[in-house]
Amino acid sequence: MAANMGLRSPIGSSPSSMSSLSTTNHALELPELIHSILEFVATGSSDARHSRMPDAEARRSLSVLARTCRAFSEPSLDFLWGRLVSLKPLIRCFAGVVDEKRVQVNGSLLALV
Amino acid sequence: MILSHTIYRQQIPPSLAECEAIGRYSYRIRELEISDQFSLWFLQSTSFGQLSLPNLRLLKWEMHNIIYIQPLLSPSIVALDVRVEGDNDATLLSFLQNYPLLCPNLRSVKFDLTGAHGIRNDPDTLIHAMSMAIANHKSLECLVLTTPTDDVVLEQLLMSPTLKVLSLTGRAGSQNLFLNDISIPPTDTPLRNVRDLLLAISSLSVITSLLRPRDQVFRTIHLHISFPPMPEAVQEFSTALATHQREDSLQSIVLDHLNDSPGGAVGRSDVMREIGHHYCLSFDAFRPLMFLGRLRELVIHLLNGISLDNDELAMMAGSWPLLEVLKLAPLLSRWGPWPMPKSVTFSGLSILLTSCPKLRELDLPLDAREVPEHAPSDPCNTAIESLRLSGCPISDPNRVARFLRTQLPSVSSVVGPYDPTEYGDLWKKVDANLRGWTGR
Repeated sequence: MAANMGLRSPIGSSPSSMSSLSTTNHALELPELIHSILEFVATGSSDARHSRMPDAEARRSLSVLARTCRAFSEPSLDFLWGRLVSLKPLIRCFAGVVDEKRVQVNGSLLALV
Repeated sequence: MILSHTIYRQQIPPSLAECEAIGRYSYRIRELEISDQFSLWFLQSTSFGQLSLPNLRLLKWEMHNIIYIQPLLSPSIVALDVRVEGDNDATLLSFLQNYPLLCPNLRSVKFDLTGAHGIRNDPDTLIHAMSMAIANHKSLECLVLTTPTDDVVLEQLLMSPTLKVLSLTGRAGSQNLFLNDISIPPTDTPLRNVRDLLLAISSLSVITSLLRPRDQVFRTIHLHISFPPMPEAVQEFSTALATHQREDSLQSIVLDHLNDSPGGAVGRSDVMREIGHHYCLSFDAFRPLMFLGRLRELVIHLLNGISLDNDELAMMAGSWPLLEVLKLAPLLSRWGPWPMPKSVTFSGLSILLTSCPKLRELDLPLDAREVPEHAPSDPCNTAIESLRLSGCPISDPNRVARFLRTQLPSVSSVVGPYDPTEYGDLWKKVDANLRGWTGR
């Protein structure tokens, strides 16, 4: 009945999917593999390959990957922060900074540039 | 700017949590470029003076106020790339004194100080300070300077066992070009491990005297020359360069004219044409280079004219099957009175394109008055997108356009920015035809 309604068992509930997940996890223990994946994500576009800097889309992907699972988190952050063309990303760590153009002071938004 | 930096710092001092947040990410930064005001403001802020980037390896600075680079300098840095803009002398001198101590492990240094005030006001002091700083580095692998160095330091650089990339270009005030007064004994081997060499020199014989038949394996040699070399000097250079040792390594040779050469020859077309013809380079100047079978780039962009015929060009092309860039157009003499002693025609061009299938950039003056009747119907090359044929003799623009369309279908333009010759209008017709066909 469940199959007819299009409902599927949760991932990992069957022996075969358990085995598949285990294999996947094992693969993610290989630093070289993760590095290759992240290198591809970071420098996928020709512009990025040329400049060796991740473009905006690549940075978004790296940011998402950093929050996907533990295996990807640290190496993704390394790629994301490894090469910077400005200190703006660091400045954004401050509570008052909304973005590189605006800062919040005593509840008011003020422009920086 | 609506909000001043001072107000910002007072209103929002970094809290402990914010400092911890920065610490979580800052150790990951390996390469950093500072070229925006916002980053500079961040560094200027005293609250963040102790910013620590413990794993920073490459730092690129393209700003004024170089004094604020100091918090970023650390022993972890191995590559420093600095271009200053309008910094005052004291600031720059302070930086030059301090950075070798703060970054003792540098392997690569790139300095462009041409924008500094001191380079115009007191170049000797600045050049001496920079030379002393460079002398501190004993393991440099890459050095790129746009201002001269002291002769003592220059000699040290030439004899460095570690340098792989050496680029010394430009001049400062009354300072001479590089290498003018350098004399290395023939028993010594300078540039022993240099792979990529880029120099501004007054005469070609300066570099010829530094070439040794063995123990130098160059990959690229780019020379900016201030005076047009005699044909014999070019031949001597080619002979000294093309040795068995460099047969498989040398991939790129560029000889071009240093723009701000003294004497004011550039801009005076009559002088340039005279030089172009009087110092005309023949096949003999290039013959030794045919030994370099892996050559990918050959650019001779001097005041000297170049006289080659189809057979000579075919021999050269047959020797360089990997050639990607060939530029043999003199600076201005292509606009001089034709014919040159010898000239290439479209038949020679076809052989060149067939022999060098990887060609993607071509600048070759030719006599376009002869158009082959039976050109191959298949394109010879689809990578080349433009040719500069302005000033070359031409009689039938429609036939020339059809030939180019067949043989070089990607070419959409043949006209340079300026053509004072009688052929100017005919080449414009060729250009119009090509643009019409390619739709560009």
